[in-house]
Amino acid sequence: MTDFSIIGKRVALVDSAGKTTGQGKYTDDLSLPGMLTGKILHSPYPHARIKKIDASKAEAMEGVVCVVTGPDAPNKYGILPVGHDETALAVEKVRYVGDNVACVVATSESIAERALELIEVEYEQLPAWFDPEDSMKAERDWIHPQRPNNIEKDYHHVFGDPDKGFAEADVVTEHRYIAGEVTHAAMEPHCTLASFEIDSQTGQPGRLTAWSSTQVPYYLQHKLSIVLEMPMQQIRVIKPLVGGGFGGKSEVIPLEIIAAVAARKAKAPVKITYTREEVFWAHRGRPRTIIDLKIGAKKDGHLTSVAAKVIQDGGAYCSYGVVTILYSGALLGALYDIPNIRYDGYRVLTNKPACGAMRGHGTVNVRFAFESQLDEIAVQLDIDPAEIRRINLLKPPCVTVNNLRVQSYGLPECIEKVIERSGWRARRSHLPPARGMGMACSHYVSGAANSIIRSDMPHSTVNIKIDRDGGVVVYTGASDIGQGSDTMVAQIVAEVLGIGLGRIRVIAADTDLTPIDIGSYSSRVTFMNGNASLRSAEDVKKKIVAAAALKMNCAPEDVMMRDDRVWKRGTTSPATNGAGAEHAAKADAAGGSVREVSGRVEGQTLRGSLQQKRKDEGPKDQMSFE
Amino acid sequence: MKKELIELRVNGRSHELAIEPSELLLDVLRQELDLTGSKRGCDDSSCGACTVLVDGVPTLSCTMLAMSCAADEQDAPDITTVEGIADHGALAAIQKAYGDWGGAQCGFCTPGFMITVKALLDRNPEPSEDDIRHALSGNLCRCTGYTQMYQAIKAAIEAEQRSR
Repeated sequence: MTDFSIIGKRVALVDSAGKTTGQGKYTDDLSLPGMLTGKILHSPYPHARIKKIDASKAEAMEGVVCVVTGPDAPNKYGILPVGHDETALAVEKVRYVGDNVACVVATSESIAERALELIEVEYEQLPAWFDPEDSMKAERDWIHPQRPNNIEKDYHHVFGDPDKGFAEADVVTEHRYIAGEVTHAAMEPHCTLASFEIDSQTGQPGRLTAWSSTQVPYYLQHKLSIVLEMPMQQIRVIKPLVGGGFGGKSEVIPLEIIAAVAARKAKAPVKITYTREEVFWAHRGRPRTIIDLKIGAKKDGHLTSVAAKVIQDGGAYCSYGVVTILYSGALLGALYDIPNIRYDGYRVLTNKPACGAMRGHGTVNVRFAFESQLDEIAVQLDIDPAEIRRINLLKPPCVTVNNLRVQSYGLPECIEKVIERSGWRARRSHLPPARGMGMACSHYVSGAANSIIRSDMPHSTVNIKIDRDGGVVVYTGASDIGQGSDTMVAQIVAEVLGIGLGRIRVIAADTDLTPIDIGSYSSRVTFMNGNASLRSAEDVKKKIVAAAALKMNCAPEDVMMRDDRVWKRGTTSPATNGAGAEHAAKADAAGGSVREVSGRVEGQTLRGSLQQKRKDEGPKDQMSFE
Repeated sequence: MKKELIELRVNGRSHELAIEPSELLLDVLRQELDLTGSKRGCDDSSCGACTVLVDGVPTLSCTMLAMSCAADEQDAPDITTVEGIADHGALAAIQKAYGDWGGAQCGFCTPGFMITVKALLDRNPEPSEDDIRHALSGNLCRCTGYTQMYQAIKAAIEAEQRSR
């Protein structure tokens, strides 16, 4: 079907009017009766043992409700199951300037700020590590005692025979590349509002609701459950509008946990909003990366072997680090046809804000090194930079040397168009002094292989409810963070059901109302939640079509649905107005409930996997390139 | 800190408020008047998300004392926030165009842009591309949708001209 009525058309985002009028609510725009403000005390030292915290003066201040410290919620958590190394607030040690020490809950921000100055903390400073190559040599004072030499994770992969590949090469280049650290800087600083309800049966504090600026509401629900020792079903996470993420809200950020712990202790709703400075401390950005890269090539430009040693300056906590350093290696071999690869990756802890996932998770820095060096090889071999990339293209469908199955590619066509539209050849030969024109290729996978909450359950489920007058409510767990997933879901459902966007209401990212979607990251939402929406809408359509066929005395194949109308193929004047509302009611009466249908996407069906547990074991499933 | 009574004229309505003299205009708008459309992005006049009009002049409300915008015997400055630019309950041309052309993505910077563009078009109904770029240079969009914004602004100008 290429004759779409809504997909591919220019439509305003379904939430755009809220954004242009100021009516749309982001987390910090929300308030509750009796709401208090939380302010966090941050560590002034990069690495220190906390000997004593005395908050009595702060607590005595008029307007201060309570002061929260590490022992109030000592359970460890982390976004990865293998990296549970954070606590809501520091328990024994602080590990970077900006680490979270205490939280003042007060009736106003100005009171909370003044109270922070009254908290007395006694520190015993420890040696701190700022450079990953120094940090790896540390023999004591490790940042986390369970990580010897401050190495969070190392990978050593060998595919093919790299040494033989280098021996066969006509040219071998070898350089060190260093890429600086980058932070996401979403326009909206992180914010969380947490509130407990009193349980009607027990009379005690019961369910928690957390409104939060997050890309991953279901992961937040899970981590809150660990730290607060509450079952997930007692925790409701709602994602209001989010002012951009870029990966910086793709894991649980300290204030999200601190706000909930503070609300529990204060026995009142608590909101915490980061200042811009605190956003930089919370960070989780792209790590500073040191790349020692060696590439071998034949005279004709064909690559024979690649060896990369990658050291990532991960900061003080694991965060997504184990995945970042895996991706740096796993995606090395997926863009070009490289017969032999050696990869040595080290994720190293340092006493700096923790790095995490940022756009192009793990791949960007290594790609910068690779593409730079490919240009050098092109110059040495006197081959056009565009041509050397073409020479080394994969020929999909294929399986790379590290067992990545490439189904779709698009790179040859992309290079072709860039050459044509940029006037590559003509312009490059007439460049004025000190001007250059270059080309670099990059790629990423769509879809996450595994949910971080280990489970065989679907990664995405979408429910659709049909009202009796033809209104459609779509319940999706997808987190719109500005990328437009609410609109994407509405477009898909509208297209399948043949109705306009005006009939569709999207309810999204509310763990009480919407079925699970594992989050907005890894370019997975359109791929996975979009497919779940499609399946769900197709199921609804099938039921409406069956009822309509019965009524119109025709075969189901002859029932047409488009432009808010249902009609029999061949009749020219669509008679029924109302998106098959009448037919939906009929289908109900006929026994098959059309009111609610769900479509889901199993992680096992649609996923791109980069798991490489052993050097000889590659990913098994397909990936979709972008 | 002792509070003082002030009168603030916002979106054509007057409000009597008791505030601390150190309170910023942005906080008063957001917390006292519940006008949460103006956003705090940076705390230090870098990003433009808090832009409001004070007597028609784009002003960064995150670094402006509310007291200094208060009415006195001589003067009652008119403050306009993003909530005050819709056209009789419908989207103003620039708001509609930002939606249609994808000028608003995550939307957090959008209120600031709405105000800045309104000030530009009030002053100069037919700005050149250079005028537009210059006027928008104090507002940041991390989603980097500037091209769509230029398209939206041109579309809004054309819509205004057609309706004239």
